[in-house]
Amino acid sequence: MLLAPLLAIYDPLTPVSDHALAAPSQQYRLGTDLLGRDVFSRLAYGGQRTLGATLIATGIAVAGGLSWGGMLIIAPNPLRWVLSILLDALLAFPSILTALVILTALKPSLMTLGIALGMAGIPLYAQVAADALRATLSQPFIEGARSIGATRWYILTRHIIPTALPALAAFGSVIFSWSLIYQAALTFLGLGGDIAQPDWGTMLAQGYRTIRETPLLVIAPGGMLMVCVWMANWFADGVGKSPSR
Amino acid sequence: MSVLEVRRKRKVRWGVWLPVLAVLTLALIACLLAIIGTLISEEEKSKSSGNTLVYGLTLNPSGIDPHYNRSAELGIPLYSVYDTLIYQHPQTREFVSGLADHWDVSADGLTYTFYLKQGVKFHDGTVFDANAVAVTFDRITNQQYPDWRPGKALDLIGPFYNGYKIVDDYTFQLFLTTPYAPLLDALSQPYWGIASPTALANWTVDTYQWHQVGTGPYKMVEVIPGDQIVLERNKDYTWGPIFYAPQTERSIDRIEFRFFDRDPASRRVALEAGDVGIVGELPPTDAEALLSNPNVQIYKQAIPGQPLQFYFNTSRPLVNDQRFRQALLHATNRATIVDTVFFRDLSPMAYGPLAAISPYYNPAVAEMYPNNLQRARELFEQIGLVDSDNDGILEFNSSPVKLKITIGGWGFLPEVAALIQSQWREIGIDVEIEQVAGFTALQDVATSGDYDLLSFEDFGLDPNILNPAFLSTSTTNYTHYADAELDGWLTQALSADEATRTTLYGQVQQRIMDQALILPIRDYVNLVGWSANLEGLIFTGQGWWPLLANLQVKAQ
Repeated sequence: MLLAPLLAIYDPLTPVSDHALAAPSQQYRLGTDLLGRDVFSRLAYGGQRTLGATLIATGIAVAGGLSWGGMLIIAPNPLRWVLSILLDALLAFPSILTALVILTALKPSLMTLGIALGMAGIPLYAQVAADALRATLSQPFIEGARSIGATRWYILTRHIIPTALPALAAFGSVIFSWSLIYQAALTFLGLGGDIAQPDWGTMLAQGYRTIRETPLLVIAPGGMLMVCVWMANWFADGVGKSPSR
Repeated sequence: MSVLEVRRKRKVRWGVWLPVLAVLTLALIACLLAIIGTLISEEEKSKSSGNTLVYGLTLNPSGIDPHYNRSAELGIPLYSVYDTLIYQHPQTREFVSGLADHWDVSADGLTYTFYLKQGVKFHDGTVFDANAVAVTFDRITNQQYPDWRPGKALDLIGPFYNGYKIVDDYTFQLFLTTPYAPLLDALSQPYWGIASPTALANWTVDTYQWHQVGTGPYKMVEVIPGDQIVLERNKDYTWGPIFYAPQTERSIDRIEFRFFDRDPASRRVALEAGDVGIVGELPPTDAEALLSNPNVQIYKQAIPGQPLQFYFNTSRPLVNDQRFRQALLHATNRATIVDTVFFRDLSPMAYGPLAAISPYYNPAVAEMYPNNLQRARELFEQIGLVDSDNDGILEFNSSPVKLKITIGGWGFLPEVAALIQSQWREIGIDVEIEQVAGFTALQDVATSGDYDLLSFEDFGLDPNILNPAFLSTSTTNYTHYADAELDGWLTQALSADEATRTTLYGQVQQRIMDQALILPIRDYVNLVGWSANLEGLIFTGQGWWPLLANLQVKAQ
């Protein structure tokens, strides 16, 4: 999707054809939308924007969640207690609601949408990260390593990270597909800032108006979403199953 | 001992479970009976009710009290629940008798005397007289009325209302401090429906809306907020205005209003399936597609008032320059927008602050801003907009021009804004589109003033809808434009005679377009889909409200 400018032949914002809702052809590979814009170009640029925002969300959720989860393991007790209560409180809210609240406070754009979803994902990831790290720490080989005088750094890099990594990576990729779905849902509702800019959720919403005449306008972005989510979940399955020591 | 214990436990378990089982079984049987009962009674209901119609509403108003709420949608059912003192003929637009048999206006234009019809009864049996009119007037205009609140009805009667007098049981006088030309137009709208004083006394200000009682051709029988409003024909109705068709066997006996507000695409599906008999505001693509369906008719109802338009915010830098606004009008290709989004055969282009179908429309505005990129470029040059860094976007005082358009998500505004954006970018003006979540959010932005263009409009037959939009003193003047002469014309037109109003509102429209205060796109047309089994669909002059009394099932 980084190749969008190479793949896309036309400007995704400008109507290229007087013929709205054109069928796919040599010239317009997926046809045109209601306003006569090239669907293929919009799909390419839209993918760039959609996946970009999703990556921002995933990055924030993973980084924030990992530090929170780490703090839950190593922080001194009063702080740990506060962090854990806070985490439970945040987990009690549906994360989509948290994202909506943050989004309302910020000025809606695709960037802020990514940030809002990322922040909403932090408690989810923190919970899993804390569990994974705790499970690793209680493994007998860690105690063994400690008892034979391994340094903290050695234990961290050679034991804790390799052991917890599959679970952390798998859930990171679950967070990716989670934020992709919600990102599309929120842009579908028009909360992604400038609605003329292409992204898959907005394209779904626009295509939906003419779903019976030109179902391709919905199938194309919907199919891309499905494939991306499936790939992320498949990756999560794969790394989650990878042998751990 | 352990064996004994186990046995005892078993016994205890049965003792607990048997009654529970029995209760559950009984509950199940009761549920089944209830379901069967409902099914049977529904079947009976639909059998006994004669001609039934499902009417789709396209907006779910926050309240349906005609005196206090503002939505035009509430008039769709309520226009036929109430009668007004006078009516406006849908075709000739003359004022004709309603609950007032006739009326006269004093020479100074300050006293209106209404001579009321006798023998009229409200749906609850209460006799209609001048006292009933007075109660409705109190409810709308008297701040001492319990839990009074200001509504659309109060706005409509205008700033010069000065009380009433009950002359006798069937004579009612209304006083003004200054003549007010739109008065009769106001009193003929369903917001001024005369309600039963008995019902008003029985219910609170908040609950009356679900138990409304008027004198109209249909009675309100059931309201389930957000779900349905049910009307039944008032068989005693004989005092209707001249344009109501006489009731026959084929009149509609029962009308159920249901909501199709969330998803415009569902309207066509419901029509095709026969789940709804009439539904408005079809998306243009769906209306086009339905034209070839023999079971569905399409009614194109033009709506007088303001067109789909954008207000320019003249308090913002650059937008405050008249030449810049004019250039943007020249840079806009309305024909393409209307053809692409609305289809020209279904919806006409708009040129000025009033739709072409509105009374007092000034046709001189039509040719003022043809799509002319050359002219737009000349104007940009005069203002000093140049593209010094050759990025395709013009700069003003060496910063690139970027305008913010704020819109709601309804009525194909996103598509319209996207086309404007691409048309203006071509000529070097960058545009950011902000879509807000709902009507309240749009009003918030409007109040904050953080926009260069804002889409908003109001509907109505009388051109006084322009006053709140363009008077410099108005809080809803979203252009922030102040012009003493324009204020003078608008104010004067409220009290002037017909000929003077024509001149004044003609000048008003001319000035608004000279100044390029708005970007008009298309005149509103309500695309109504209705079953081919029906005949007699006709709307009031305002365009939104159907005359339900005239609807009939087609003869076999």
